[in-house]
Amino acid sequence: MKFKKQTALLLSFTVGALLVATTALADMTHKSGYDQLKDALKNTAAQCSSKFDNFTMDISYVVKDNGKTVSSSDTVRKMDRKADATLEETELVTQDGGRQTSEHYADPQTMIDHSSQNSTYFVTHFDPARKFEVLSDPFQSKGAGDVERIVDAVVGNLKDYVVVKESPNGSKEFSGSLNQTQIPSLINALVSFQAKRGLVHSLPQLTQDIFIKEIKGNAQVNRNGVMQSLLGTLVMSGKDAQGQVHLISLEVLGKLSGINATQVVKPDLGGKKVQENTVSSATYKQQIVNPKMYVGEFKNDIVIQKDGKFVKAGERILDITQADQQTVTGQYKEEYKPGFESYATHKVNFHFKAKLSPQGPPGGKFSAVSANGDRISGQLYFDPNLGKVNLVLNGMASMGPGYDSTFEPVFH
Amino acid sequence: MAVFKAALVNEIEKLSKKKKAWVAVILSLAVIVAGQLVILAVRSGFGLRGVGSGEFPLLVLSLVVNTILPLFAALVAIDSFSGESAQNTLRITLTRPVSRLKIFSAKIGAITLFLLAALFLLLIFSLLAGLLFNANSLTWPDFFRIVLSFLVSLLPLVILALGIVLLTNLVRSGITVFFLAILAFLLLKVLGLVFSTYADLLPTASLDWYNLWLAGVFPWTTIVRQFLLMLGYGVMFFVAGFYLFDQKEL
Repeated sequence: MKFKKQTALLLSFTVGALLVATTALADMTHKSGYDQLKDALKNTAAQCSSKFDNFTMDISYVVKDNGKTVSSSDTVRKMDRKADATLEETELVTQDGGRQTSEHYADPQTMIDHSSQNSTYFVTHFDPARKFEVLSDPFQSKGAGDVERIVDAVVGNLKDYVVVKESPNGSKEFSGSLNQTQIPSLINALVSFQAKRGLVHSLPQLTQDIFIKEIKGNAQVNRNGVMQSLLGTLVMSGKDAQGQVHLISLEVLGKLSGINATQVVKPDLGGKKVQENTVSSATYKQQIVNPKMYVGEFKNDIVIQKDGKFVKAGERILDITQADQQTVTGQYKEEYKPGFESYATHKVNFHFKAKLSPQGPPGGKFSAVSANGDRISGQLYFDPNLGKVNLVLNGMASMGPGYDSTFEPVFH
Repeated sequence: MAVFKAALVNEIEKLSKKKKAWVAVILSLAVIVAGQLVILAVRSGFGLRGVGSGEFPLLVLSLVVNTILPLFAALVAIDSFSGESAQNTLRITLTRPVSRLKIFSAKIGAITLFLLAALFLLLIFSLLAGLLFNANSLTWPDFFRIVLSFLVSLLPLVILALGIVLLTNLVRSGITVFFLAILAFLLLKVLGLVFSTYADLLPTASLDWYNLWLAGVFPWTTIVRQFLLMLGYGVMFFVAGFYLFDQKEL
């Protein structure tokens, strides 16, 4: 009897364990619609940023208030990874029917901007060429994995709301919709709040009873797993100050086309009004400065408050004696005017030699020992546009209040 | 069957005489009142509707199903096993001419009924609060969806309770079991976050499986899979728990 019972228990336990194991296996081999959609997105982003030579992305949106179009926009972005160039054309239609178009062309050497409101073409030349990437894969960026995990957690059991329809040729159609009871309340509140703050100005200002009524989505993926279109619709309901109910819908449509058949044509500037501008050091890259230009004396004023007024008590003097691409040598000292010696409790005087770092803004770190034996460290930066020097000292608070790190050149 | 029924009635009576049952009732009400107050504050403060009467019960369910309901399950399971053996009252039950399987099942039955009652209470009060304080948007299909959501939530809670019952039979001290259960619960939740692809396989993941039942296109394959998974866990927990319970020396 005892034996029988034990066998029965063992058997039931095994059945339970097998049930868990087989279901788990089935679960792992089964990909929910959400996971398939995610894979398609990742695949598309990867292909666009590394495999396709060129393609066209078309992103448009329409905002409607009770069925009436309030504003719409259409952006066609042609990208050519081989030629390292992008051309973006945007058309915006406002509520009163006004049309605005704009054009933006970019490659490593040039950037051209033009809009329908201004006949001038603004051309920026980059010399030397800037670092330019046509499209970087957002899923490869830092922190993308964490974002994905958070999104997965929020989506949770809503994963199965994404329905996949597979056609015989291997292409897939994804669709999904969430109505107000299905949208988790917290998400509804957060999205409503964001939407309320970020509403287009031409929309009626909703003041109460705002909620997301529906979220819908639809995506087409071709048989190579590349997403060709993605349509999202969000319907929000709310009342304006007069108590009138508004149904505001936002439709966003993204399309990918012209794979390896897109040409990016640089706008023809012949006969156009052009304003040119040359940037000798692109912001994308380390700004190139000639440190030798900074040899000389720089100064700023020591300003104190006395009798309810700002008074100049003396000067901070930065004397750069040597500078090249590797190092900068010089001296920092403070000089107080007669009668203000009592303020000179933190009078600092030191020689320094800073090593310029190849990355970041032009400048470098240094450490030094001041005349009274204190250890001092800090950074020195060149301001290439204004010809000024920034001397940042670590623990600036100990320098007394009102330390000013910007030094202007002294012209003799 | 009559013996089992008697044992079940006995267990239910014991449970209902406990202060913990009342604590559960009061906590449930407190959650509803607090939830409604937050909604009212959001509504007047930010102009957001928050929820309509059709969504309020689901909001309450989404909150409690991962918080106080597992807590109730733990409290009741611990009380029914560790508590009784600590007070030496388990001896009285076990010396009756009732098989240990029947006693064990009766205890599980009582815990299940308790959780069902807690869900029912939450359902009734959140429906009432929803109707009283929120814009009237409750339709019949909504109503049935809400009732269904509360009903299906019973299963994962019972599985969780079975897991905790197993723990009470592994570890003697009720307090240790309580903290172990909370730790394990949190750990499983964190694991679900870190390994989000496999999160569905954890016994805690199905707590909000009621969402599946609300989908527009009924995801029956997923529902069947989740059900089988829970069933498997349930059988394992039940058998292991009972084995230990059966081996217990008085």
